Amino acid sequence: MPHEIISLQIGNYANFVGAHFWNLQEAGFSYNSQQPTSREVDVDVLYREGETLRGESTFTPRLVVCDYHGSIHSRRAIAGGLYQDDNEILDKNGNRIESGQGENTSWDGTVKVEKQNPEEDAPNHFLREVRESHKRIPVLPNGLTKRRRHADYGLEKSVRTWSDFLGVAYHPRSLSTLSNYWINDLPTPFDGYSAGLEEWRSCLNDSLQQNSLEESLRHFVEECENMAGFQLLLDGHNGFGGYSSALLDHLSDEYGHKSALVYPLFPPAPPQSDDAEGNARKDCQGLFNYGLFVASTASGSGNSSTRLHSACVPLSLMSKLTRPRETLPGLPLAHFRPDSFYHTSAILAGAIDSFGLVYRLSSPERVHLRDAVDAITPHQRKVAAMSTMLPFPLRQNDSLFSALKAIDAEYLPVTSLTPHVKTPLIDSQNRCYSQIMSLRGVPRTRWQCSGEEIRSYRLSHEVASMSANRLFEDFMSSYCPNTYGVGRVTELPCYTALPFPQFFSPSISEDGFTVSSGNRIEDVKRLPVMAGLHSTDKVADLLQELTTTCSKTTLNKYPRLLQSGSMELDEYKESFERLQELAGRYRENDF
Amino acid sequence: MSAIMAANPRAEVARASEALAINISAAMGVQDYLKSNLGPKGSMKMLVSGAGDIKITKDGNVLMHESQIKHPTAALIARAATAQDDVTGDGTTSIVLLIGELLKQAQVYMTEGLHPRLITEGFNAAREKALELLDQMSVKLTGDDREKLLEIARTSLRTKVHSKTADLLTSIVTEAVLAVRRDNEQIDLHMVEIMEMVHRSEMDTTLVRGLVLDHGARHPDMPKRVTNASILTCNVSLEYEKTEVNSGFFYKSPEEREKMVMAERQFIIDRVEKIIALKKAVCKAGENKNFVVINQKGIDPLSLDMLAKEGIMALRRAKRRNMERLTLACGGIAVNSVDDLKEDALGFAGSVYEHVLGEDKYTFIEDCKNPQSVTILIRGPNKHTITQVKDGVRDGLRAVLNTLEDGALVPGAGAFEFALREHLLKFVNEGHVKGKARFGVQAYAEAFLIIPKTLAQNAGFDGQDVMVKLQEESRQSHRAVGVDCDTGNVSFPEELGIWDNVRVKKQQINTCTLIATNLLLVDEIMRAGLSSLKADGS
Repeated sequence: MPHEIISLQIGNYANFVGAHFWNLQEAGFSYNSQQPTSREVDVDVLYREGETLRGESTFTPRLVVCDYHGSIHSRRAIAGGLYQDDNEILDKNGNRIESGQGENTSWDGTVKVEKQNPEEDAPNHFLREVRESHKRIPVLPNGLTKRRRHADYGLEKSVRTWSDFLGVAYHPRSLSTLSNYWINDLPTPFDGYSAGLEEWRSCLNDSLQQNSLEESLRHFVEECENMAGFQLLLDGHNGFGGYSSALLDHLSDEYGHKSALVYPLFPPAPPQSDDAEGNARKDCQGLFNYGLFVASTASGSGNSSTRLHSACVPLSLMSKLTRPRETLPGLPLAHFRPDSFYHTSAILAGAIDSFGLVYRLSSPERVHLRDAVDAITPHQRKVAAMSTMLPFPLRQNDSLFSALKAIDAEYLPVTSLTPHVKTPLIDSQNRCYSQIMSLRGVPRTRWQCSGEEIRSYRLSHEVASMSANRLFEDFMSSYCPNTYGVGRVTELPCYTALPFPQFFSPSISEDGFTVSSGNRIEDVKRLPVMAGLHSTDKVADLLQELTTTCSKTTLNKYPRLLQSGSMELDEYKESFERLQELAGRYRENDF
Repeated sequence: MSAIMAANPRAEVARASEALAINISAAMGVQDYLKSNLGPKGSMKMLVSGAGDIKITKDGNVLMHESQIKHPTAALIARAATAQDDVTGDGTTSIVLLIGELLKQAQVYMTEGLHPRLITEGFNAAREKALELLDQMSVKLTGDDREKLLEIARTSLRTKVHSKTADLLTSIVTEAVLAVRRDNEQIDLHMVEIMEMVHRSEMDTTLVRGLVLDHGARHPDMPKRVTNASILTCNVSLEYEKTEVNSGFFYKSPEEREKMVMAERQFIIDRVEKIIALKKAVCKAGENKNFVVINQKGIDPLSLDMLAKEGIMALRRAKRRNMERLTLACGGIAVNSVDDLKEDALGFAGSVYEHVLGEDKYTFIEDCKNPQSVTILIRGPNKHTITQVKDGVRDGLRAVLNTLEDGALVPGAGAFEFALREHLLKFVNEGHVKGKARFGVQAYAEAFLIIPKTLAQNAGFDGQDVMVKLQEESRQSHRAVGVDCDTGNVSFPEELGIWDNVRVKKQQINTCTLIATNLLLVDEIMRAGLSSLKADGS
């Protein structure tokens, strides 16, 4: 019985991360019967089987996304040509041919066509190939012509929104949009936490209108035999934060006994305009919304948030959210562009996907989502930090043991993806309460030490015969000895073929191994990755920073926050007090 | 120079006549956009989104909602129009037309130098009169006037969907509202479930006197069709979940885990057995009775298996709102704990069956004894047809509900608007309005003609021709006269059964007067934010 997980992506940046996430999933499948998909991971956790009206079977993510009204650009591409209405007439590029005949049953008067912001230009090169390959499954990565390299597609330039590089077909039910807010809407931007709350409520109260997101969510839940919980990606810096927190309240009302992993994201700053004052206000408001979201989800005293069993993991590739902002200096072996949505979301997706393996394993070694959430939220410390090594340095002939041994650093050399939580995550000054880590992409043949290594390191029989998970857990505890830790090693690598951006250092080979002389010609196809969640007292730095900035903010400067009427001044204050209290919880001595 | 320019040189300012011109042109722009959609003969708009999705509609509310309106004045009007729909469910297009026309008529006088304040005074006087006339013209409903309810539903629906579809939906929506009505209680339209199905054509849309659920039994051995069924509506988790205790404990071995799981499972098994015991008590062998469980919470495969072995049909994760509907449709009480299981908590349905379409399953619960909750099952060949019918059904339901709540109707087909003009002009000519405000009343009177005029134009006739005919007829007959959209002649809406809701008109009169006066009194439009206010000061 799979322990199904339903994914939710709320907001534009969240959908960027989500698009990469599903591409990575899809790349792990094989549609070739000679080489079946790896059995190591239970794909039914994230995917569902379905059937179209024409009786074709489909395999689509258990996923509900939400974005601005009018932002879902090429829905036809997103639904991948699945589930088309029977009497739609499509030409060979998948575009609708306008035809009057189809409609004459419903209307015999005149029809005036109003086209709304039509797609400005043709689908980019990548989408075109995906569409063609959909017609002759397999899809990714084998379906795309291998001769072409990432650089040939120029995705960095042509990607405008997340659907531009999405190679996976979503179920049409997965898509939903806000009803009152348009993308890039200047008169009424969706920039306030309370606007998000309001938006959710207006959907619920609308007398005969059903909230499509809530409806489709229920459908996916109804299908599950044994649901474990939810994975929620969301934009925390704008109205989607409020929307998500109302959604979480709804989840705990309806499915209160399930678990949820919540990833509030903070996207890289957009190019600053010359209006300095306006920038400051915008940045400040973003932070304010983010703080409110973390306060509402993570603090235990909220009315119903206690019931949903959740962990909150703030993610961003900015290391400092307050002004002046700082971006992460970079990962040791990957040189991404810190201002690009397309690049930064790929890193986050890689880390989230790699960590997720711990609850997607098909072996009994699997960590149940509930246990994972339990483990990283000791004593109601509901905020955890995420770390990653992307890629994990693994030389061509290393066994797992020597690869771990080769990381000979003073501190665990992982990069923190949680803002304000500084790398190194764990040092002699701070405490780590618990951690769960995942290491992927180490071939099973390397899990045992070779005879040569046993001899040269003089390993005892006990060490030499240790399971990979034990080896990894020992490695983790050597950096933080008194911390409860769970580690899982998987063989399945992270497939970074197109459309994953190619920002890797030249010392990574095509197969993801670290080599001394870098002369890679082809794209990197697969990577070993390490990712983990940590409950450490450094999280208090983030919480403290949010509290300080938010309490300093004079609400009167942001009339819109109070205007929508769903939150009163006192409620804001209360939220920050909760945040303060939560920060305090990380400094207490009890464990 | 405007005062704000001294404080903030970067503010954008439009003054007096310029400001008025901006407002009027915006109002007339929106009016132009919707004008062709008014009435049963109005045309449709096909909205093609950037994603290639299409929506075919003539519903003003949908159009206002789906169009991204950037001009601030236009957005204001659009918001007023959608608010009209929220309150009454109809009249969106008319209100946009009226606001545009009021401003247009006022402009005529203002170019001649009349002060906007005087015009608005005239507007307000005219509004009082209009409400008076509305009272005079409204026809009271006597008891349960089914005919009238059907007529109002037909009028409303014909302006939204094709007339064949409209005729089909007319009886559906009327029956639906009457079915959920209970004596001395407010009618709750939530008790009419609207379910959609991509299947056959919109002419197969039906009213189900019972409930249609959008999910089915998840076990292959469960019966797909039962008759004579007792229905248990419950909100009890029949799904094994890990304990809620916050303990990060893990198992040393899979066996140990299994054991733990089994122990905790027993708890759920007990619950299922209680339900089975009730089933056995109710459905004695040989009586041909069946048992259906509809649960708001989850039911896991093992529990489903136990229930299937007993021949029980079980549905999980029912919609929250359906729990209430179920008990209204089938009787019984929703049970929140297995301890409350009693025979009298059960409802009854004559037949329960499943319908499968691709991956979607539908469960029909029909032949209920006294259903107080019903389902309108909308069918259609594709998504956009369904949406169109759904929007229509929604407005039809509202129209019937409004009628029942108002207890009265006004003649439609532009009859009220036309009568209002005559009434107001008479009012002015008899000298009841002093001073220049009379021009305001005149403007108001002319503006309301836009409705019958547009109705005629959209049907392909000359607006002025029809107006002349109307005037002649009304002078002779002293009855409410309206436009006949089929012939372009005069009609008597009361005879033809064309009605409008009183509250829709009332709301229209109030809103359009208010918005128009507000816009007329604007003499300066400023666009400045806090950011630009400070930019040069620091």
